[in-house]
Amino acid sequence: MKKLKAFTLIEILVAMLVGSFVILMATELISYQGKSRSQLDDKQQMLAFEIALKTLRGDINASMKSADGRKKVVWCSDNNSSVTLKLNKPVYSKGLQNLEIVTVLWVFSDNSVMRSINDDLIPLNIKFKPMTHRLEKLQDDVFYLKSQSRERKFASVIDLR
Amino acid sequence: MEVLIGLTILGITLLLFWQSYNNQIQINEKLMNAYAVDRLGYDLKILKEVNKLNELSQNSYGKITNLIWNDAEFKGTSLGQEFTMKFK
Repeated sequence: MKKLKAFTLIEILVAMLVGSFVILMATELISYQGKSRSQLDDKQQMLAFEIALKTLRGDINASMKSADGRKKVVWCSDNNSSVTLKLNKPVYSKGLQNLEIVTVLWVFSDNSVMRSINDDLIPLNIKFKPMTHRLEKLQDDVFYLKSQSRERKFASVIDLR
Repeated sequence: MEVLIGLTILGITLLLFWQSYNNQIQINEKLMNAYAVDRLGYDLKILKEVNKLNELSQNSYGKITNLIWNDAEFKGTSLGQEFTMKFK
């Protein structure tokens, strides 16, 4: 009688076991990867916001002052959701080899922070999950910029003295 | 045998990929806290100057906890490590 070549029942069961284990691991990994990706995106957005706040502090500290010694910063806070700041500051121009005065505009809106210099066509624009921003007055020329998303809160003192 | 080798390589690759994600999240967290400490230092200095230290929004500086301050310095804990900054 001719012997047929085939897998035994044990081989098939082991193959099915290994296969199902691999599929299980792969689905777990894909699901975890999705969560990690979203967590990483959140952290990167928050880090970008921190860097934006530090850059804003630098801009305000370097801003031009009026005759009475106060920083010339025009601000506007709208309905507890957006904040706009506009200032002039000197920057060193490599091309002209001298200092030039530029206008810096900061707009903190519900889903982005934008910084544009001299109304440039491609401003720095950082997109975020929905956030609210408001300026609280602490005393004359000193404000507290408070931003809040669903997960995190940020606060930064704006010193216009 | 070849399948097992292939699966092992795949497993190691996925593990490394997953670990790189975790490391990136941790680095971002540390950077964020470094920026938050810097922001807190600047804010506290100005709030002290204008006598508004009581207005400090303590939960707005990342994972900085246990904030205490006096006239000369402030202390806090960031990511499990204590730090001290002196007012100039």
